[in-house]
Amino acid sequence: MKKILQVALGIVTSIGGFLEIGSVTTAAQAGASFGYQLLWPIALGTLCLIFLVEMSGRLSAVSKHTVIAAMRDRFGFRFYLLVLILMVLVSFLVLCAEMGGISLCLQMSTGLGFPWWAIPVALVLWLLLWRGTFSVIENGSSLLGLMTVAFAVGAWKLHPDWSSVASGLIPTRPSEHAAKYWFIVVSILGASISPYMMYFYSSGAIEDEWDESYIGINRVIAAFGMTFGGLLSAGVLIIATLVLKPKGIDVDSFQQVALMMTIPLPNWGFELFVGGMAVACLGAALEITLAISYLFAQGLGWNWSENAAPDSEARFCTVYTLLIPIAAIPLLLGIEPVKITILSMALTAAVLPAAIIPFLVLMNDKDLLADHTNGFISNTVVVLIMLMSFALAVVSIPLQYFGS
Amino acid sequence: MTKIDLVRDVLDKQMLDRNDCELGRVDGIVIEFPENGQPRVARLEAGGSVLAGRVGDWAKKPVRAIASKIGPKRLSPVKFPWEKVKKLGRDVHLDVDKEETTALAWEKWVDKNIVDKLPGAKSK
Amino acid sequence: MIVTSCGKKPDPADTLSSVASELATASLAGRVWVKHRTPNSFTGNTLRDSRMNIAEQQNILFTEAVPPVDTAQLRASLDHAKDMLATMEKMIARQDIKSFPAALAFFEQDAKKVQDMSDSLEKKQQ
Repeated sequence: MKKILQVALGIVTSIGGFLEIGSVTTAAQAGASFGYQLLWPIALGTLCLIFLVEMSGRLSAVSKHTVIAAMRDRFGFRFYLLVLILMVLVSFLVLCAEMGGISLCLQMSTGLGFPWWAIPVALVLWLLLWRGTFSVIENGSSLLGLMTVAFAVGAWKLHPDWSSVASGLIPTRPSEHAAKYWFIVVSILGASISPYMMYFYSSGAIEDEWDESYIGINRVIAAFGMTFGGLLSAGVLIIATLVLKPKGIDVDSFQQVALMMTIPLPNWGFELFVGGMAVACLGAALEITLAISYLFAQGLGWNWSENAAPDSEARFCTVYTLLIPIAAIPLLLGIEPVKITILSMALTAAVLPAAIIPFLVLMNDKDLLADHTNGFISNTVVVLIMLMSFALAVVSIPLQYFGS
Repeated sequence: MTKIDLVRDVLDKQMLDRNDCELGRVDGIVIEFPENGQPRVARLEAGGSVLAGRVGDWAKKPVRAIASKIGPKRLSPVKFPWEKVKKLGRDVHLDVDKEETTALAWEKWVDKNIVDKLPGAKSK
Repeated sequence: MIVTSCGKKPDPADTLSSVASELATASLAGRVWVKHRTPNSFTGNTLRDSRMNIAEQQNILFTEAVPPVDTAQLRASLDHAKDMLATMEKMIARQDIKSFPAALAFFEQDAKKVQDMSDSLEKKQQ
């Protein structure tokens, strides 16, 4: 019974972890600009994430080490330092974006501009980490984040032509605006395949004291949770296709996404969007902050645990105590969160090899995982998607920002 | 005689004390070359200065400069004689108690000067 | 943000399309406000943001990235549209929902002219 509850909570958490300002904005942009044509990167990104999350859980359950700890163990300090620097920089940008997302939701509901919300949001984020325990944070934000199911409901209510939708799962070449098309592909992949999810999920498995008996549950949680999350992103894309594309609206603000929700859901669309996204972004911000703190603490051998009082995890807690105010700075300066979001998603795709390659090596290490190393499919799927993301990122990011 | 791969099985591993508390990671291993006799593993070391050395000689000066301005004035790296290694496995288990070592000097300094100054630090 | 600021040269068709998108956003925002689906402050801010973005893009349209369209008509339509937006923002502030639909209709007339120009330019470019 307890395990069933855990599975349910795990799935719900995973949905929350998937949906945040990055996945929603990129899916909306995709639908508004290219209709159903860009469903395939959402599917690919979701697939890759399912494998990565399952692997993170399996590594922790079997080896009783987190991904980060195992990385330092196996690859040494210098490699760990390189990964640390890259992951912290990119994750930091994503954190700014998520805090910006919460601030934008508050702006949309109150009228007060987002820079004013930067400090209150930072304070709430910090307090939740300082005083909250791992399970309270995780479960609380995911249950509230279920408001985002509105995206699936909204898509359903618009009665899309499902065969057209399905055809979007097959990759096609764009007939126009190729640079923009591939850039959105990269952004979607970067938004779906977030390395911080691996670090967070793996640390959570250790905090929750998983062992080999959790391998089955882990698979279920990874598969269902990420799939639901992907379906919600697909829902955003469908709504954008049917509401924004016909009007020629290009998505470059969060407000446009809020607007589109009022068409399929006239009574509560706006409120559900603003409430659901605020919580989803908050959940993501908590996860990223913890992931960065874990990156430092686990790699450097400090004691760490979100369940213990700050008093006994001083260095670990100081990392996030310093990180959060610094992440608020771009918002205070009035830098538009959606711009930060798009850039951070694309950069995430570009640094994926640094996160995934060492991870895959670990997942094939019999000393760590005994009988539970990766199979051929896991390895192949992840390698192919990672290589594709990286190659596309390297080509399309310069094109998007600097022209051809 | 058992063989130990120092780099693979000792270096960079997590160190734990008698009570399985974290003591940091093995940032460095010191091997002594006595005048007469075999080279032997003298001790394990941990600390920012040791890590700086692994990054490159250029990193040592800035790290030393920072350490002289903030943090506990622990003048030398944390050292554990090889004899204290009780067990090697996924982690390195040492026959010491964390309170007897300087391993947690930074943890205690940060606790006293940053964490304890903020409200609500002592419990959850 | 250095990346986005020292970016590529603006393309006329893209800039015009971007303006059309802003106009469409404002129009959608107005329509759903009339149906009481969104708060006043949100709608007012959205219209204001659209107006300011259009003004910004307008500068580019008539200097660096002049599109091959009837620029006099374009300028006139954009100026009317911005004026209407300012008027609509004030109506929202006063919660004047009665006069709003007429203002919105006026606005949409000019918006449509610009959107048509943008659409035909897109078609020509393909």
